[in-house]
Amino acid sequence: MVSAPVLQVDHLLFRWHPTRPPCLDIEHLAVQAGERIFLHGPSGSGKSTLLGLLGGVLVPERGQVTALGQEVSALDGAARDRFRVDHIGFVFQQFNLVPYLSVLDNVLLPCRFSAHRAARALANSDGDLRDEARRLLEALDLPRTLLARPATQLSVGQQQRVAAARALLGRPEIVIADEPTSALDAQTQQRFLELLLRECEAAQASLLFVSHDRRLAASFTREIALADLNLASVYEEAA
Amino acid sequence: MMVLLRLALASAWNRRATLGLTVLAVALSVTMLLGVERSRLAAREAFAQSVSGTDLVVGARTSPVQLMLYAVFRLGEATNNVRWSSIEALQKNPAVAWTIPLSLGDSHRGFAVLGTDVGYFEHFRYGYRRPLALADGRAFSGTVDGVFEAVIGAEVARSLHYGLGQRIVLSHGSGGDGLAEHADKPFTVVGILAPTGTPVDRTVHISLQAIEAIHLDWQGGAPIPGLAIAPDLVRKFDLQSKTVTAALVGLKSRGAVFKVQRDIDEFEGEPLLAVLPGVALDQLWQVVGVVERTLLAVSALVVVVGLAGMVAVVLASLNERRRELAILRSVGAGPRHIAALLVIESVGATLAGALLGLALLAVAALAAGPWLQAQFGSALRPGVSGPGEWQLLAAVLAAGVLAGALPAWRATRLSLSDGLTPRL
Repeated sequence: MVSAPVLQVDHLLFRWHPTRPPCLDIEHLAVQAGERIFLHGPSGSGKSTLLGLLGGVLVPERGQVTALGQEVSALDGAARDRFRVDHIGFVFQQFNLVPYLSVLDNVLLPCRFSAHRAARALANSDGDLRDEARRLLEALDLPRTLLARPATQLSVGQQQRVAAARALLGRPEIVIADEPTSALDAQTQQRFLELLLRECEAAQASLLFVSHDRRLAASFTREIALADLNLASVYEEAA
Repeated sequence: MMVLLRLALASAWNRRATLGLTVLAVALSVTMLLGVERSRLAAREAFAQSVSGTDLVVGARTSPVQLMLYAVFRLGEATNNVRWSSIEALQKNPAVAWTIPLSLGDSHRGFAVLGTDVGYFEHFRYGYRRPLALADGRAFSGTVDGVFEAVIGAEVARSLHYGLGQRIVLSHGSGGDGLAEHADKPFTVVGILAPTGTPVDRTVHISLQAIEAIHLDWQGGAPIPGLAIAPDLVRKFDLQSKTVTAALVGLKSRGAVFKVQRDIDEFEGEPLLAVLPGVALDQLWQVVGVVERTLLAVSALVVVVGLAGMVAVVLASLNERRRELAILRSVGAGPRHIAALLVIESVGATLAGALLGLALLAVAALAAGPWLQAQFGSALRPGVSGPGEWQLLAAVLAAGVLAGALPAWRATRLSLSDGLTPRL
């Protein structure tokens, strides 16, 4: 029996402004449970826009975004915000952390906004949310001495790993990483990727990894080129 | 939501230098606004209590406000006097308990000279029916032997550095320099009154007989040429006043006040006017009130300027915070959370400013209180003084919420268009 995809896009059309030509026109895209997908595309090809649509921050003009059997694009704004934090973890290219919060508080942010994530994180540890956050940070190679530091005192590589811990805390079904390695040097890039893949597997999360750097594709179960997927021509504003 | 409150606090603390300055600006503007309000109330109270315990003020027929101006505040001059016989008739009215005759017109170095009788020290009340108190010395005797005795108000003593035994010369008429002087008949200060915060502080009190005495050899506002009566000879003359300027009247029962007022207004001997001091003071305050309302309006504007500065600072910070807002969006914050975050910040800054302003004012009131008490006989209270102040504080907070709406709206717009990836 084939289980339903965790993430699915059908007949999707999106444009930034009604008078402009479409920026995304995708007939079909599906991510199966446990899949690790490498989504590849040059900058300006609409990758970030697609992620916004998948995360329910943007709403398509036409078509559906379905996640975990729920049609996200049909929900109202507040419900989409809730769905996003309940089921999706995000890692961005850089400046992932809220500068005025400590490392630990940054990791705990999703649990502050989502009782669902907090409950799942608690189920994984016994008793304390912080314990689970510390366990994840340790698994991602971050020394305990850093936990109370303000996020801004960390190196970029460390910041990215804190962001990964935040994305994974409370075991969301889907992790979306948007160019998380482009700000890292080659060595840290490889190390970060290994850790991210390992922890996604441990958390049984599907991973959608977006990058312009095809050298990283080897570690993934599937590689998709956005250019093959997107029927709309590429426009300059779709950064 | 507690999360938002904690985030807003942490974020504000992160930008404490700039926000601190805006809070200080708001605090100073609130200090000014409440300071003006508090002085306004204190001034109004002092004004309304310039005279109390007096049921009617009686003078020659004129406007009630003008009568109050010269009889109570020693401002301006009476157009007509009241005959002594009318005062005597008034004293015979069975409802009248006491009368204080007032005779004005002369001055001493800019301070009004008031001729009255010893009943003044007994019956005159100010504030909450407080009697006059002597800080030093005694009241003038009111006898022929003590005719050249004077009792001075607190401010007269303080600003002219007068003590007991000081010899003073009165000038004819009131106003500036160049007045003819009653130099031949100097007075001796025998008493100094305690501060009252009323026009009494700025008055030199002498007896009615003394007023007669210094004008024996005068006519039409100038000494009669060739006629000079030495001070020790005045007792040979009849020093009974023929006229006075006005009189304060106390009744045996307040209930008779309108009847007595009507009796006086319809007095057949000469045209007289009797006013209820409370009513006339209220009318007078309507005139003076324009100034206080203008002051209040100006300080309200200062608060608006302070809040506008705060809005500018919060708006300017938004561009640096777009990344931060996008992160919050990714962990489930909706546009309404972003808006709430900014409203909390503005309201929090306004609230902090208002509280700091209150504290500054309390410190100022405590520090300057004794000095104000000594100078003006009334003090700024350190605590919130009335419902007006709470209303002003509420208005400031409401303005803070309104001021927060603009950055909140802008942040919501930004975070909607940015989504998860700000295009910086």
